[in-house]
Amino acid sequence: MTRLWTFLSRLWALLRSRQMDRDLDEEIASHLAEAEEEYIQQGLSPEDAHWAALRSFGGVTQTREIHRQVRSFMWLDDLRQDLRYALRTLRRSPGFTMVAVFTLALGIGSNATIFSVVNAVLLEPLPYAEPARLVALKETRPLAGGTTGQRVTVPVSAGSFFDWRKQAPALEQVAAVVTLDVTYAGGTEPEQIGAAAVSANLLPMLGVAPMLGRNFQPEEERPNAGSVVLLSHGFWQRRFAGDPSAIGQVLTLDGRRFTIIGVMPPSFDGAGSAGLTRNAAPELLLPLTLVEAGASRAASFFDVFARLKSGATLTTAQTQIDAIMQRLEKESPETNAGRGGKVLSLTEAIFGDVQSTLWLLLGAVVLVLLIACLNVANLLFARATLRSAETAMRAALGASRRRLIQQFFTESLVLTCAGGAAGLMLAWASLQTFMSILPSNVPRMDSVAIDGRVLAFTLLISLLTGMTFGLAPAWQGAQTDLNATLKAGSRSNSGGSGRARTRNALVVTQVALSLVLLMGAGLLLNSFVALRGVDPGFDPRNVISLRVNLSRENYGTSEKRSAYYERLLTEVKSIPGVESAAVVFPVPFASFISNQSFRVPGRPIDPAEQLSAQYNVVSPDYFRALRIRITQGRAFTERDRIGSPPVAVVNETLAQRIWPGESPLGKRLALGGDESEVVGVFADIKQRQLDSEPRLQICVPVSQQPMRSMFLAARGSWEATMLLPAIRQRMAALDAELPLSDIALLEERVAGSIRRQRFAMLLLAIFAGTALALAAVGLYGVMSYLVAQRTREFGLRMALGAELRDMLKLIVGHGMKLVLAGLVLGVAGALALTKVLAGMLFNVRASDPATFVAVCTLLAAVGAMACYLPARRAAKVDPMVALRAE
Amino acid sequence: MAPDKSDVLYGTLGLMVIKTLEALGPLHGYRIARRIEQISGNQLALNQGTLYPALLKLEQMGWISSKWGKSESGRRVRIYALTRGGRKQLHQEEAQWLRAADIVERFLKISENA
Repeated sequence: MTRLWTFLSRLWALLRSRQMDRDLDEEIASHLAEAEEEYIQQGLSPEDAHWAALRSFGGVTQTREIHRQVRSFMWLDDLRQDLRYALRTLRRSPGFTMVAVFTLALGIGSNATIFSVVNAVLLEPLPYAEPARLVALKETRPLAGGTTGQRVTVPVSAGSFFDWRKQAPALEQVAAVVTLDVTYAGGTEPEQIGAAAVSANLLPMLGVAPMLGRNFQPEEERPNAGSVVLLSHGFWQRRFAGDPSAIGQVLTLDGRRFTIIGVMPPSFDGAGSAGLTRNAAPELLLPLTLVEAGASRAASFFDVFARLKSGATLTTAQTQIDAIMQRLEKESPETNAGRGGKVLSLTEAIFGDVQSTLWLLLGAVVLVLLIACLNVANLLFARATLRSAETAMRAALGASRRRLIQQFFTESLVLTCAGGAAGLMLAWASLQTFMSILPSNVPRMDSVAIDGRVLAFTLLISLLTGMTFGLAPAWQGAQTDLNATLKAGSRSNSGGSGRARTRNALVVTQVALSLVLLMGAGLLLNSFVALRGVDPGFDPRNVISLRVNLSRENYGTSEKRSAYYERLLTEVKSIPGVESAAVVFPVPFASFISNQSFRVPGRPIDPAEQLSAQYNVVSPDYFRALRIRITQGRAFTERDRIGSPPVAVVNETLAQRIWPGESPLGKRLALGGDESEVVGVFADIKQRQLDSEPRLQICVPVSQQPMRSMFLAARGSWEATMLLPAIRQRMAALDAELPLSDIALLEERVAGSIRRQRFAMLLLAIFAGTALALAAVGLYGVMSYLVAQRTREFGLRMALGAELRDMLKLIVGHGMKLVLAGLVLGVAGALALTKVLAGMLFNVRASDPATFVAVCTLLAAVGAMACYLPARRAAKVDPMVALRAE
Repeated sequence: MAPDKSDVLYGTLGLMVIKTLEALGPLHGYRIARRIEQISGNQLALNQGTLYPALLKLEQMGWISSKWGKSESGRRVRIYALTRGGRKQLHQEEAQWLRAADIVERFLKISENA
């Protein structure tokens, strides 16, 4: 109790320390006056009384000092003093302060920026109950059309889903999700809405409950159960203005009526459900129809999630899934040959892709910060040397070493705090730009913001930074040899060879670190250029593409769909400016690809190697519209119709793989049930990724396989976006109820596929550039300082007849020695560190010699420049001035 | 330092102050100092200045309180008064001191007898 009271009153005293000083002074004055009065009454003269009063009082100053110590926390008082002093000295040298603060702002700011992304995307726990126990399940199979035996993860077939649900004891609940688009006709125009069909146990498994209404019942998973729908919070707000009476109302989707049974909480919107579905965020949830009897093992389109039983691990679950899949492979080799299953944590499933890039960038900014620290440390060293006279004086006046270190330290902290604040502003300003180059499929990126955690992180790294670069110079500053410094008087002192060594080491380290960063950036840049230079096999320029979905009611038959596509193409081709047009599913570089397994009639089935190819349904003009070369035979024509013999066109890789050394024309392929005749061969194209290996590819005519959903691709003679209004208009005239979605230039789709690489490359380049600039400034600073220190010596040399050239050689030579040492160290470091990049590189080795040479040359050139400028200044010095300067 | 005068024992100044305030009621600093000097029969070398940090400490402990007032001669002075907590503390410390003094006295007597 007493202790608390004491603490509080000290705290109080801290706040009103000036007032208390005044009070004490007044109290002492009246004390002395009282005493004087008494002495006078005792018969002393006023003057004697005055001195007697002071004598009996003792030291007034000591009293004040002790009073102050008792009053409050000593260290705080010191801190305040130090702070005031630090601010004053920093104000006195604005140049130094600005450079230091700016450097720190760059370092801290880039860290704050990247951290705020890492924070929102990776560190925020998933908004589900006990997310650590949630897993995602995938099927694996040999790469479709692959030629090198790689495996890919694919969604799960309904058959596997039921088996896993029943036969894997480590999984407590197994839920399935199917992403789909539905047409909603409630607004002014029909629109495609992202939706998901989910098994009834999905929400309970996640630990999420509807905010209003109820969840799906298990019986609603049965076919022909009453149609029900759950709304996302956002959809409810937009369409029903948040009216609770929406529950029970009917929503018409895809021409069918659905009763609204509930509304999801806002936390399930957007980022809240990231990764569960393939669209950005489902606006509507529908019950997934599950029929176990005769569930397909061939088609796989379920995304499966599960909760581990408490105590079960990923490994136990994986072992059980493996056992199930091995058994299935034996039981039904025709569908399950080569198939496996994979269990991975939900976080890994959602963030696997982005994770590596973000951690890489965080690593890069930490390096930038380190370089910034070294830079400021260097500046502080220089300053400590310049201020050694001042330090010595303060030491002579009785400042303890601890006190001196504390003083230097405070200065560093003031600098970093200023740098941190400026860095935060920088981060805030750059976050917008940053978000615009972030790949659009990064989960939860719309929740990136500078929040409390980012602030705390920034504060933490600011303090750490201050300690890192502040401690060493503070220590050295306090080591000053009193006698020597004071005796040296105004003569400049070079600060001793030990100090010079430290500073040189700092510069060498900076150069080395920048080299590592530059190497990383250089490699990614090379890789990106190589990637962008890849020929996709088609010409994506000036092609606009969009998706059409035909409704079940009006386009129930193949004939109707076929007829629609024919009319559509006739209409679109008649638009002025359209060079050619085609329908295709899926269009290359759409967000999905379609695979089809096939057999070669007459050849035995090899269960170990199931043949499967990337599969496109196309109209005759597809090859012309995308400018894909037909290398043998023919493309499709109007004569390939329903009823005419089924035909297919295959790519060169398939032709060579299946019929090596033979002409594929006239050969037959069994696709599903039908046998198709190969009538042509086209040059390989990339379907989804520029860096993919050649795959087996098959195209079939849309007239023989008219699907409900197709992409329209139209090549314009110029800017293809200009065609869009006309296309919309023609399509509305054909059928106003059809929703259009996924509108994009083919070029955008291709560029979108390398956005992540572009993002990593751009950012690393920015950070490497920052590092280079900082290293250059550091080197420049050291050289300038060196030159200033040795002005006298240089003057003497000049006076003795040294040529300008000699001087330059002397100084630049010294600097370049440091650069060279840094390069050697940096190359060693880069060789070790760029290995982590290996997985992100395309057609470039992590130890690419050309990149190494280029980066070293760049650094050497920048280094030489940073040395040359101060050297030239030194060489221009008038010898007489230099000699007199002392 | 004069051998016949002893320094104020560490920690006892506070006790003297609160005892003084108990005996005489609220007082200002100078009066407290003078009173302590008088009671000790000028046996104590009290630097009157040291009184003020001691007063501050007592106030921080919550044993005395202070406010501005007038001295007998009409000067503005800070007047200190014992609080209830201070009174309790005084009784405790008094008892402790007496006990300690008693023990020391007995100890000294035994030593003399031996």
